[in-house]
This record gives sequence, structure tokens and C-alpha cells, in this order.
Amino acid sequence: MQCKAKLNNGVLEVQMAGRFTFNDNNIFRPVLDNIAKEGIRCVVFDIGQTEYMDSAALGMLLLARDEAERNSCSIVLKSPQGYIKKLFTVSKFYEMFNIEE
Amino acid sequence: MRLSGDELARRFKTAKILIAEDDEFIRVMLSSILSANGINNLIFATDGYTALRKLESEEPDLVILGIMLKVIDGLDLCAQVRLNPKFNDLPILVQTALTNAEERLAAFEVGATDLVNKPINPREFIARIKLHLENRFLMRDMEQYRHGMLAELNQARQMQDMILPKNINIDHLEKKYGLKISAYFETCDIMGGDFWGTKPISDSLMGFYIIDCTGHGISAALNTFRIHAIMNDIDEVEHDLDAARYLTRLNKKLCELFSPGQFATMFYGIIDIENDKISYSAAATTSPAILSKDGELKLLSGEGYQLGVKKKAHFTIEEVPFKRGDKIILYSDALIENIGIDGQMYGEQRLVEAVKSNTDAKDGGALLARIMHDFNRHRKNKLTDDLTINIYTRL
Repeated sequence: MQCKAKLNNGVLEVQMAGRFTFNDNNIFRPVLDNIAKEGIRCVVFDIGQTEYMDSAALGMLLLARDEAERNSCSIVLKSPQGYIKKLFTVSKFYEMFNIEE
Repeated sequence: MRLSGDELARRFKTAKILIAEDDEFIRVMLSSILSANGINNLIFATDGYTALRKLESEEPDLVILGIMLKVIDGLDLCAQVRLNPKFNDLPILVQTALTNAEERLAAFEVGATDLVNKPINPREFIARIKLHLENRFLMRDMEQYRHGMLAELNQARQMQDMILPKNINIDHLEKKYGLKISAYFETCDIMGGDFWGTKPISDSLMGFYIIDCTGHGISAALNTFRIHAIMNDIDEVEHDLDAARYLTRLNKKLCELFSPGQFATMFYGIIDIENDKISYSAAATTSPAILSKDGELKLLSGEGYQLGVKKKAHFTIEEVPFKRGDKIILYSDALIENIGIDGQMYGEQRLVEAVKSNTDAKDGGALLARIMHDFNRHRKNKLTDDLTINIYTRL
């Protein structure tokens, strides 16, 4: 997975392209750490270019959600496509996350 | 990684060193340097043949070789020793004259680990010996650790096999409920995060499930044990006849146990042979396929919260007809998400086609074999996730 992050006005936008799997643990960890940082009130995961997520990746998003709740930060999953959309439906992510089409 | 000074000194004391050297003066000199440095366990050979025999019988930790040995010379001996895989990692130090470049090169070519320069400089000599011995100890520790770990993993794997249904129980259930149960199970690591099972509820009701824990390998495998234990606890109190309520109970327990980011997906169904139906509830699973007797295929929804994520999650119950001759196919996501030789996922669509074009298979086992045949044509060698497929056929 290629991951690019930019901070703008308290909103951290993280672009994630490619396959998001267990192996991306190390890439995702700093993102999680950022959620707890002061001054970040929203994290937007732009997953428009994400082709695939395995169960560990879904787990990492759930982790991010927990972390955000603890730090009164909000999380947005932006533009899921194709297979990801289906995964989100099956796992009821539409009811647990703020998902922007 | 390094060993502590005390530990090293202790191990140097017991380290066994073979000195193969025909010149008595050199033998005495080398052993006195070694002894002065706490390395006392020394054995000697004065010719190449004896050296070879002692290598076999004494298995030293390190060898110091002279080149001018009788019967077999030092370089030939070194080459011979290296032919035996048992001595692959044995440090062999060859004594050579500092000025003879050809000889030095030849020693390395036959597999010497390092050279000892003649005339001997005691401090350099001992530094080299200690370095190679320490490496030897570390390698051996690692090898022992690896062996121990493998043995433990194998044991754990056997324990995991025990939570899967046993053939004898399957035979019994098949007779009792008029079913044929066919299963394929393959883990991508030594242990897996998938498991499946069946449980008799009453004379006409049989529960069945397939579970996939997040990730794979040991942490996922540990969660399979947890779930299995909780399911046993739940079943002990009373068999729940409501699949959704069953998942709700299981989910609540798992929310307390799982660490954040961990979850499991599950399909839980109850076959009702009296009323020709399956009632089921799903927790974020792949879509089970129902193949009717007349070859009609229908995918069920696997939609539902993952287990262990949301404590107050609500699960829904669904029903589908399940008459004699019908089949239900359950599978873990590895089947449809596995990337094949074309760089694409196998996919739900290809699975549907594989099932549809094999409706003539004589039973569930044959259908499973044909699905696997198609999957194997697409797959690369190694799976990246655990694969489970179950087919239940009503006879």
C-alpha cells in the first residue's frame, strides 16, 4: 500500500492506494499515533484508490475508530470503491463509520 | 546479539577444541595460549587421518588445522570435512604463513572459516578463536531455539486439529440427519485462524458453523481456541435454537476478550430436517451458496457485524429452504480473495461459475473436488490466508 498524509487545519487526510493488508501494519501505526495528537480533530482516510483490504486492515480501521473515540477526534472513510464497498456492507461498516461516497 | 562476559567465560571452559598439527612445538604453544585464556578442553591429532576420526567421535566446537599433516594433508582434510553437512557450521581455522598468498587463498577455497597467521601472534590468535567460538555458540543456541519452537508449534497445531470435527463424529451425524458433510481445510501458516464444526441440537436439528479470526498464524489460532471454549460454555447451558441469539451471546463474550482490532467472522446455521429449512445468522461472512437439487444456485447474504467489535451488536435471523438433494456451500474469504496466476482474485463470480458448471457432480465430495480443481488451476503455490470449504448435502 502507498500511503500519503497531509495535515490541513486540524484535518489529517490520509490517502491509501493499493492493497491494504496485515503487512501495512508499520505504515498504519504512525497514523494511529497521530490520532491521539492534540490539534487533530478529524482523520479522513481517502480510500478511493484502495483495491483490497484483508481482515487485518479492517481491524486497523476499527482500531483507528476506537482511538478516535477516546480522543474526541472524528474519522471519515472517503470514497470506497468496488470490492471495498462490498466488504464494508458485509461487515456493517456503514453503521459504524462515517463513510463519504 | 552477543553473549555476556560471564556466560562466555563459562562456555569457553567447556568448549572442545581439536588441534590437528604434526609439529609438537606448535601443539604445545597453541595449547598453552588457549589454557592461559581459560580454554582447557583440548584434544589433539598429529596426522590427518586421526584428525578425521576424532572429528567424528569427539565432535569438537572448533578445529585448528596445520597444513602439513601426514596421511591426509590439512587442505584435503578441510575439503573432506565440508562434504559432510553435519560439519557445515564447524569453525575450521587453518594455520598459514602470512607471506604465502596462494596458500591463504587455497585454504578459503576448501572451506576454511578463517586463517591463523604463522608465526603465531598470541593475542591475535586468541581473539580469533574467541570470536569464532562465540559465533558457534550463538548459532547453536539459535538452532536449539528453532528446534524447540518447531516442536511446540507442532504440538499446538495438533491441539488445534482437535477442535476440528473428527471423522467418526461426522459419520455419526451424517447418519443421524441424512447428510453428507464434505470439507477442505488448509492453513497458510503452521497454525490457522479458521475453524468449522457441527453440533447436534435435537433429533431433527443440527447446528453448523464456519469461523475466521482476524489475521492468521499464532494470534489468530489462539483466538480460535477462545471461541471454541466459549461456544462449549454456551452449549453446555442449553442449545440455543435461535442462530441470531447465539451470535449475540458469543459476540458479547468476545467483545470482552478480544483486544481492539481483533475480530472474527462467522456463519452459524441450523439445519431443520423436519421442516426442510436452514435458519441462519451471519457475522460478516462470505456469501454461502445454496445449490438446489435441480441445479439452481442462490447466494445468501453474509452481512452482519463482525464478532468482538461492537458489544451491543444486533444479529438477524434468516431462513432458506433446504430439501433433500439440496446443498449448502460455506467457505472462508481466502477462496474468493486469493490472488491467482493472472494477478486477479479468484472471486465470487468464478466460484459461482465453478459450481454452476459442475452441478452434475455425483455428491458433495465430488463437487468440492471440482471446485478445488478450478481453484488450484488459478492459484499460485502458496496461500496467503487460511482456506476452509464445507459442503453439506441433504441426502
